[in-house]
Amino acid sequence: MNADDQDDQDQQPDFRLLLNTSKGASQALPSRDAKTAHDPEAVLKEQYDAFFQVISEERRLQEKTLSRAVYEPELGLFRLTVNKGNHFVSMGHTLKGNIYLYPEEALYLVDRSSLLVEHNGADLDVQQTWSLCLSQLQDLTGKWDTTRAMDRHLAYAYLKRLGYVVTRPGTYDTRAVDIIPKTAATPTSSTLTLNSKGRWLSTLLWRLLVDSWNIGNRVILTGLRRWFDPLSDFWNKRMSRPLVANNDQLSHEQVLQRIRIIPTRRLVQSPEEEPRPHVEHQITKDTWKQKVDFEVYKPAGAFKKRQPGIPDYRVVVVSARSRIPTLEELGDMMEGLIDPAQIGPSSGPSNTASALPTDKGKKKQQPDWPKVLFAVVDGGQVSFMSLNNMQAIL
Amino acid sequence: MATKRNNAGKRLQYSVPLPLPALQQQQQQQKQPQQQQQKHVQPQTPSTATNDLSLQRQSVSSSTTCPSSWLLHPLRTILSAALKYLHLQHDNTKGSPTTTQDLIHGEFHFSGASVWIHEGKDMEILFRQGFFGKGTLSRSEATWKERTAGSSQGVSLEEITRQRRVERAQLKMEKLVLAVQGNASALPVSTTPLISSNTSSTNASGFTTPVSTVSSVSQSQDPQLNNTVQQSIMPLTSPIGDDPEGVNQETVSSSSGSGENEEHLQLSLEEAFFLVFAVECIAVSEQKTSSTCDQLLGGNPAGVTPFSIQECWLRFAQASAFAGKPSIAASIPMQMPMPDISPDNPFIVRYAAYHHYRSLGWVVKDGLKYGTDFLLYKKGMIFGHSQFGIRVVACKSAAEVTSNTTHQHRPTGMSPLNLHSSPLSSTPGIFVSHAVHSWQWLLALNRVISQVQKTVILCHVIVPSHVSKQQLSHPLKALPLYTIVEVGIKRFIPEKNRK
Repeated sequence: MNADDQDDQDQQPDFRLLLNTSKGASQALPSRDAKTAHDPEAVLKEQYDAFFQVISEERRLQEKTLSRAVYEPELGLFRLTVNKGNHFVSMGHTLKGNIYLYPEEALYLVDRSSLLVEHNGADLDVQQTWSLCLSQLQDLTGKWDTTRAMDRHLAYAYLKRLGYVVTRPGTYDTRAVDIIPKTAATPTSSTLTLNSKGRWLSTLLWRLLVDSWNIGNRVILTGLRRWFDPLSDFWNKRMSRPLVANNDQLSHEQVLQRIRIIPTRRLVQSPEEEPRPHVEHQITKDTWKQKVDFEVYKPAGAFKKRQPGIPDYRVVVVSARSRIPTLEELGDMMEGLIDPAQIGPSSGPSNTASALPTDKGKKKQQPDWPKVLFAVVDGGQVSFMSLNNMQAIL
Repeated sequence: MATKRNNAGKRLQYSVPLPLPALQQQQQQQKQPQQQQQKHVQPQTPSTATNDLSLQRQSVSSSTTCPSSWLLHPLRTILSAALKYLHLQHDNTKGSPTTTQDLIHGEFHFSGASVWIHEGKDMEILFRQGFFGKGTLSRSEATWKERTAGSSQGVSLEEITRQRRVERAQLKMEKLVLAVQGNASALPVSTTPLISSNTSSTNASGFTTPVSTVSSVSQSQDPQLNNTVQQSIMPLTSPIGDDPEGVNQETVSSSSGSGENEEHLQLSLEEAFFLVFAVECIAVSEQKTSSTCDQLLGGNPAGVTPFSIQECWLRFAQASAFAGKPSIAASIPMQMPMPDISPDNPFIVRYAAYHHYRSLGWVVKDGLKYGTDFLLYKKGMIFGHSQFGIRVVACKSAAEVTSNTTHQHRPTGMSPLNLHSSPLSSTPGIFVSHAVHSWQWLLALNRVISQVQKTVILCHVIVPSHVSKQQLSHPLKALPLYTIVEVGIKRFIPEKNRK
C-alpha cells in the first residue's frame, strides 16, 4: 500500500551491467559518453546486444554438483538416482525409499544446471526436458493448455529463485498414504469399545433432543411472526416508517445499531461450525487442494519435510486475462484457514503480535485475515496479488 | 497555534456524525463543559463521547447476553415480540412523530438521477453533519455564496487552493529569476530544462546538451534570453491572472444578484435514500416543472407532497435502471403500482453497500476520481484522507450458480473473458481495453488506488435469487435479503516479505 511498493521492482534488469561485472570491468556504471548517452537508438542497441550475449552463454556444469534422475512415465515423476547438493532438503518427496521429483522441480533444477534427466537410457538435453515437463503438467489435471503449464512454471521458478520453499499441497502431509496415485487407499476399520459406544449414543440422543427443541422454537416463532406480521404492519404502519425517525432520542451508537439490517457473511468458516448451507456436491475435507497450486513457506524459517507446519501462503496461478474468482471459488481456496474475526478479539494474531511488539502507536495492528495469493502471469511477468476476506471496521 | 485552534474549531463544526436533532443536542451538551475549560479543548470531547458510548454499549450488551435458561428464553421472546407488535410495551426511545415541516426538503430529478437541496441552511446542515452531498459550484461544501460575497475569511477550500496556487507560481518565478542570474555567471544550473525548452527555438537540433547551450546563450544572446524568460513567465502568470479576474467577475455578478444562491447541494440517489429511509432527515418530492408554478404557489415547498419511502425506493430504482438511456426514460411514464425492477438493479446493489458502510459508522463518499464506486472516510473528509476505496460487485447467490454450472469444473484461471460482454460496465458502449473483473483490470485499479495510499475492497453484494416482486418493492423487506462479503486486495511483493 505504500509508495515504495511500486519502485524498481518492476523494471527490467540492465544486462549491460551484468556483462560488465562478469568480465571484471573496473567501472561500476556504464560510462556516460557524450555521444551515446542521449542517443536512445545506440543505448537500445547496446542493451539488446548485452541481452543476447548473456543468454547465449553456454551453461557449464560441474560433476560434483550434478544429480541425475530417471523419468518414470507411469507416475509422471522423476526418480532421483544420483543425489548431490542440498537441494533435496526442501524439494522432492519420498516414495518407497526413493526420492521423486515433480516436473516443475525437475525442470527448475535442470535450468540451474544441477540435474540431468535420463529417459529410455539416454540423457535429455535442456530443450527436451522443457517439452517433457511442460507436457507433463498438461496431463496432470486434464485439459490444460501449454500456456497454463508455462505460467505455472514461471510462478514456481520465480519463487524458488527468491529462496522460498514451494510445494504442491499435501506433499508432505503425514496423514496421506498415497503410494501410487491411481490405486485407492483402503480405509481401516476402527473398533469401538462398549463404553465409548454408549457414550456416543447418549450424546447423539441429547443432541437430537436439543436440536428438536431449537427447531420447535424457531417454528413457533416464525409461525407466530407470520401471522402477526401483516396485522402489526397494518397496525403500526411499519412500512411507512424510516428506520430511525427524526425525533428519536438515540445516541450515535444506537442509531448505527438500529440501521444494521443488511447481513454480512464470512468466507472462511471455523471447523466447529456446521458446513455452509449451499454446498450440494460432495465436499471432501480437502477440496482446496485441487484448486490451490502451491503451498509456499518463507525461506527464513526452518523447513523440515517431516514437520512442514502450516504454510505461510497458498498460491494459485492465474492468467491475467481470466476472470477474478467468484466468492464460492475464493471460499473453497481459503478452506482450512483460520479467521480471526470468528475466533474473537481475545486471541489476536499468533506470531505477528509477539514478533513486533514495537509496532504499536499509530498503526493499528492489522489482524491476520485469511488470504490466498494469486500469481498473475502475463507475458512472462509474474505479479502477486493477495485477496483476503477482511472486514472494514472503524 | 492559530492553525491548531482553527482546526479544533473546524472539527467542532463537523463533528456531528448524522443530521439528527438528537445527535445535535448531544453535541451541544458536550460543548458546554468544554467552554468552561480553557486548556485541552481537543481531547475532551472524544473522551466524553467514548465514555458515553461505552456505557451505552454495556447496557445494550447486558440486556442481550443475560444468561437465561433454555426453557424460558423462547417464551420470553414470544411474549416480548407480541407486546412490541401490539405496541403495549413502552418504547421510550421514540419521540413525538415528525411532520414534514421539520424535515429538509429535496427535489428529485429523474434524468439527473439526483436529489437537489436548495435551502442554504439545509445545505450546511447536511454537509456538515455526515458529509452528505456536494455543492454544484464548489469543490465539496457549498461555499459559493460565501466566496462571491467577497467577505470570505479564507477558510473555504477553494480559497486555500487559490492561495496555494498563487504561492507556487511566485516560487516558480523566483526560481526562474535565480536561474537566469545564475546562468549569467556561467555556473551549472539545476533548472536547465526550463531554459533549454525555451532556447530550442534558437538551436536547431532537438536534444543537445544543455550546459553548452546555456553558456553560449548567456554570452551572446542576452536580450533574446530576456525575451524568452519573459515568454516563459507569461504562461505562468496567466493562471494567476485568471483567478483574481474570476473573483472580480463573480463579485460584480453577485452584487447584481445578491441574496440569490445560485448553487444547490446535489445528493446522489444512495445518499438521498439513506436520508429518507435509514435516518429521517429529508423529504423528497418531484422537481418543480416550471417557474410560473413557483410564483403561483408562492415558492412553497410544502405545497408539493413528498414521496413515501416505498415510492422513493421504486422511483430511484427505476431512475438508475434507465440512467444510461435518457431517450428511453423520457418516453416511459412512471409505472405507478409496481414498476418492473430486477433484484440486481444498480441502485439497489449500490445502496446495499452504501447502507452497510454507513451502518458501521464510516463516512461514504463518491469515488469516481479514483475509479471506484465509493470512498470510506473514518470521520469525514476534513479529518483525513480516506482509507478504503470500495468497488461494488454484484454476484449471484450460490444456489443459482451451482444450478447453472453443474458441469463446469475448470479452475479459476481458465475461463477466458469475452471482451465485449462486460456485465456491469460503467461506460456502456465504450470499448474497454480489458474486461471488467479480469485480473488485468484488478491490477490496474489496485495500482491507481495504492498510489494514493488507499486499499481496494471489493464489496460483493450477493443478490437473492428467488425474491418476489412484493418483497422487492419495499426496502425493509428487500434489504435484509442481500448479503455482503468484503474481499480486500493487496499487492504482494515476494522480495520484500522477509526474503
